[in-house]
Amino acid sequence: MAPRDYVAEKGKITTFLKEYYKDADDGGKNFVYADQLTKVAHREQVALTVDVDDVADFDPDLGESILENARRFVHIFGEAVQELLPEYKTKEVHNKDALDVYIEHRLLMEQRNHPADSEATRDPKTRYPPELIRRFEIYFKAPSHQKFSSIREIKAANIGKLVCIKGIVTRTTEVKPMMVVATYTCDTCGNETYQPIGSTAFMPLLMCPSQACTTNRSGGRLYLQTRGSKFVKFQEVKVQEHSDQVPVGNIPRSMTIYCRGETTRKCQPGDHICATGIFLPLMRSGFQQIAQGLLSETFLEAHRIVQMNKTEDDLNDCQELTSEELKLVAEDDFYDKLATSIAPEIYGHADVKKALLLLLVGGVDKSPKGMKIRGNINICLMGDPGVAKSQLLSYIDRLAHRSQYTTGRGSSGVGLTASVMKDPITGEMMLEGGALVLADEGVCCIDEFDKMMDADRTAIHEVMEQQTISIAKAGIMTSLNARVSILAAANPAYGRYNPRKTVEQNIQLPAALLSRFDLLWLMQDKPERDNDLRLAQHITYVHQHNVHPPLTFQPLDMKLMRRYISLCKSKSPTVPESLAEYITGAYVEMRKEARNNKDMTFTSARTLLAILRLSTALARLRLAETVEKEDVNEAMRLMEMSRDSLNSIHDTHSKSINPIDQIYQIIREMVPTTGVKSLKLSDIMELCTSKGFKPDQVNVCIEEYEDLNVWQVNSARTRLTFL
Amino acid sequence: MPGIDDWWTRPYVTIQKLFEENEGKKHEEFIKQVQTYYTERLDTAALSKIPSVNTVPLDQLKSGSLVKYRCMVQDVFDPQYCVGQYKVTNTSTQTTRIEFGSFRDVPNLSPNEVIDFDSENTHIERLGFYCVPIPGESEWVKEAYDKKDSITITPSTSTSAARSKRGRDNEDSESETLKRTTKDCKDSSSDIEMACAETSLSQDGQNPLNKADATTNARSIPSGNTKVYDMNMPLADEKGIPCIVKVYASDAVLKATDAVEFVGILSVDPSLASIYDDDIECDDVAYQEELQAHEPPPSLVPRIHALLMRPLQHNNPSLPPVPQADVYKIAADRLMEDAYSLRLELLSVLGHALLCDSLAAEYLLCHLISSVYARADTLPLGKLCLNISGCPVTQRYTQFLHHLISQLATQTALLEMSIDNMNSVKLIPKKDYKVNRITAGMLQLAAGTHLVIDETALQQGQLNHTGVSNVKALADVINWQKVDYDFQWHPIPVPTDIHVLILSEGESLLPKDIHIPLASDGQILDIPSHFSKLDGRLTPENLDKLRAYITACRLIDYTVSEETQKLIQDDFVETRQTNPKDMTIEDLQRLLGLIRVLSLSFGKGTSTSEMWLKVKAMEEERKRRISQLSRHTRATL
Repeated sequence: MAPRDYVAEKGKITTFLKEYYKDADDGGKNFVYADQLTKVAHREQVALTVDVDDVADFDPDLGESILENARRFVHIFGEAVQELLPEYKTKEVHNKDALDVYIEHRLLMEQRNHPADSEATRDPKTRYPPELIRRFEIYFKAPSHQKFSSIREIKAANIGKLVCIKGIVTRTTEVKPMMVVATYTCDTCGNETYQPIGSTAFMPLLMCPSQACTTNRSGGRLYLQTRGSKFVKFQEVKVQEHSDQVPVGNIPRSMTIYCRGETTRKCQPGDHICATGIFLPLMRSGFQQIAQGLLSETFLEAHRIVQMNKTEDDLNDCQELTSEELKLVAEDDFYDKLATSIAPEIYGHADVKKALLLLLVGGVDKSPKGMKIRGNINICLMGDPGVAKSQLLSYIDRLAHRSQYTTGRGSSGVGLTASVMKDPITGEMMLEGGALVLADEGVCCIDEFDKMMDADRTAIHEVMEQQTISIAKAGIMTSLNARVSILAAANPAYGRYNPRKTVEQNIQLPAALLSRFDLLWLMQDKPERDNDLRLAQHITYVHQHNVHPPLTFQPLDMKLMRRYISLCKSKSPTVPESLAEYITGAYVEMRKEARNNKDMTFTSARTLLAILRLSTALARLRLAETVEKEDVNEAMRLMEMSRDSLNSIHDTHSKSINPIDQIYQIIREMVPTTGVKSLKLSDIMELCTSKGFKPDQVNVCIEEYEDLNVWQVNSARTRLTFL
Repeated sequence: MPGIDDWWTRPYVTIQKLFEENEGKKHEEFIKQVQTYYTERLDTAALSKIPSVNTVPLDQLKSGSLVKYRCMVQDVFDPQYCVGQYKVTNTSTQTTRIEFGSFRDVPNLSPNEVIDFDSENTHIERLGFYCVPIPGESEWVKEAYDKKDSITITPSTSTSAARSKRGRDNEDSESETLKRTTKDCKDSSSDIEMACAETSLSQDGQNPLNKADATTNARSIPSGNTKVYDMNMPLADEKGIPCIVKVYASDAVLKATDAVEFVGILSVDPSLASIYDDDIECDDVAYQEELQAHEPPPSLVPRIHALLMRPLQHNNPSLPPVPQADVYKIAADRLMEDAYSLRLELLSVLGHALLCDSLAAEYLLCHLISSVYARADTLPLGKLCLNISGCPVTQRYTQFLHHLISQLATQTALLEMSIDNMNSVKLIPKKDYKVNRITAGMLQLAAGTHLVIDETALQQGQLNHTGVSNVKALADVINWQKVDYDFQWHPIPVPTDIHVLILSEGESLLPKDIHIPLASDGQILDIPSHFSKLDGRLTPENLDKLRAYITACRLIDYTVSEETQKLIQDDFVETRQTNPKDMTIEDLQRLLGLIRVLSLSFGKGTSTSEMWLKVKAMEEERKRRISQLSRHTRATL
């Protein structure tokens, strides 16, 4: 490579800073950097962030070279800005701190002692280094097309370049002052000497290099002046890879970031950040160099640190879909395709998957007149053990942008909601969010929902409708946002789903909580010839070929799905006036039906809201602005299917179950409420026969429920004990 | 020594030659060149000549010599950057030369030489792996490897034998001087110059401090007992030397718990310990701690600069190491001719140990052969966690059984599941951010390790937080064959292949794939003497065959034929038609897993319909036993 002409580059940069503009909204020109320079000149702004996008727009080559050799360009930009600043100074600036006064004095002195023409004879050591007087900082913002790499991808080839990384902060040091320019005064001649410091350590100057001292050989000693030296804030931050950036089975890597000046105090341990900076080697000097031999450490000199909050979570994923992908999206059966791409290895359950897809997309939040109506869809999956509930949950956990996976019996302490902790060192009270708070604007997958602790369960009521968590503990009273969709999985209370009981009895959850779920699905392990065969084929295939059988379709890439879902989320479709009537009509119909049929579920005003949520989610999925009739129909169909999953088994058994069910009820009622829950079998037999049941029916009932582990009968078959 | 042997006695000279040949080429090519050079030379015979860090005491190995090391990756450090080449200038003669920067910790300098760091140099990346000897490696494996190394030296041609022998002698005498000097250093600083000369460290004239440093160094390590370096072994009672292995090949994919054999250059330069000096000025205590954790004294944790690495697919010294090679195939085929008789022999041994329960012996045999052969997404295939309930609680039965398994399997570990133990033991590896490394947990085990959980030690009591998470970690291993490493802010799942055998009194509280109650007739009262009867049958030759048999069975490629597949499917559907409770999805998964290992145990790579029937019969028998047992217990209640 030919040596670059940095002087020419500097000229270019000066023009760029002066002349670069963007078209403002009002048609005028918006001089982005010139405006900032004015502010910098008036000491109203410290950091001057140069967007490499803008530079590339101005001169593509220059933009490219900044990325390649960022450190050099920080200096060139610094010099350019330094020279430009006086031009932009329009008014007198008040001195803000001691250093300002100090600099002013020095500048005045320089003018007095060294008029412009005598410049050449000056000893360069006693000149003011530009770093001393400079009160601004130059930062680069990486071009928007540059991807955030994982720490793993940063290699030796990246040294010296501007890179962007994502990670989680694991450690931060305190912010300490770091010397940039050391100022010394001579005890003999009183001259001031400056020493710019570029590395982590420096060797203090001892002898006065001024002309007076060297010619006189007076051997003046230098003393460090803290008042006259310049310090910047300095902080060391350690980041570690995100768990999703780590290839399976690997250990996450970490990296050190050096933050100076304005980039300090941007993050705390535990924060997810994306950082832009220059990847640099650090040569230790002196003894450590020998100790470490040929090693050099590396660090990232921070230029920009952004905490990734909910809105700016994943810049990459929000990228526009490519035309090819859009074509995919535009296909007719895209809805089905998307749904089947959810956990493709789990066979069947098409409607459940559709519902889960809608959960990911979510409905539209509404807040008419201050009242908040949630748009998030909550789903509860129930079912026998071993019907892939947990697998579905963990797939959603992986697919969702932000998600937390926990079990009802999950981590102690913080648990699901939030807890107040006392910092052991400072004694300060701190609020620590639990899974629900952490999953804000995301999905919270709760396995074993039925086994949840009572305290958490009460909190979940609030979360599921109001989408907040209120805390009043240890003097802290606050309300935290928990705008989450809850995906719960529950096991039936008696090990297996008992079709003869209502949902509440089966799950042992109160109706108030269950009604907050928009959809309840019952996933059952039912013997059915076709299904069984397919299942068997699937499993044998997996065992033989070590992979899941090739699907009849190509499941969509998880990343594409994520991007598509976030694209969907940007839409907020509305329900047109014309459909309102249709929906209300349908709802009234459902209510009527529910009243007539003895239903296992409930139809309430919440059902209506659920339909609205589901239909808006469906409209979002089509990337449409308005809800159409088909959306409502599909939403109602899903509701219907979910209801069917709960009721269908009920129908098939309804003829034969009655006596056994009734006997069970009788026995249940006989159980004493206090003390040992056991009954004499002879008593049961007596009561039942008196109610007109045959003894063998009673025996069948006892055996059947014994198998369900509801109760136990002793070996002599005289006593029955409830478990 | 003739120049031919330079490549393994003085690898630096050889590499320097290669470096000069490849001058101007890219660094990656140079590394590749070194790799090919050594791959060509290191065949099985040559490999066994290289001393192993596992067996040869560290003080008999010379820094800068070629060694091999059999280990498990415990932690992966962040990549380090070092200079690819550096210019050395001799201050007295003003001559310069260029040396390669890879494969070494300390620059190769003679007195009066300095490094010109400002010269144009490239940065190269290298990866550091903290490796520990394979945890739970059985005693016989170690012995056999050791023996193999010494045997292969003698029976080769007489000249080479003599030569290698002389080589050894030389080395010994050399290392002895080294030993003596280091010992002297410890006693007094009198002979320190000698040590310095040996290690080519001293830069007298350039840095007068250095000498003094080396002195303090040698002294401060033994006296610095206050800070005992934690060797980070997954199993607490493990012996052996951990090493930090530096890998230069950029395409190296090594994950935690991978079992690997490295061949590389040993580096135990004492100057690496200089960070332990008290007088070193350090502004940052945290940084210092981290540095010390990553750069432990080389006398405790030597560095190895890997030239070659080979993932270990099995760790059985009685079989050729690479299953894809022809040598292995021939050996395995010969072994498998006797598969039937070996299987019977093993069954009877296991049956004897399981108090004459032949069904349980079948299951234990299947369990020993099982391994996770693939993962379909998150679902591990091939795992077979066995729970043998009804074990005698007294007379250390579980220990006896574990001992037997350790005689057969290559790696084993025993976890006593007492309340105290569960509440205190560290099962899950945890990232220590203070020193930036992973603190080993007991579940950090290499693939193929047998973990025997002794639940008979469990008493009633309260599990604390650690205990609960430990139980959960065990359940994760059993269900998903993964360990969630604790990274404080988020867990990192690491796939494992640990074969868990739970010995319990009643049915275990942990999940399991197969639960079988032991049907003992209560005849055997004296367990120690019962086990001692086995000793006569387990002659070394016998044991060797059984060990090879187990490993070889595990490595057979397995397929299911179309018709068997169809048979199984139809059977599944039929059974479910009649009674869905008899055949759930889990049952089918279990049967498929069992039929695989059962076929393997006969030395067969495919399963037949007879196998299917046998498996089904086994399962039926087992289920009958369980229901019998539950009825029995219910009756006694």
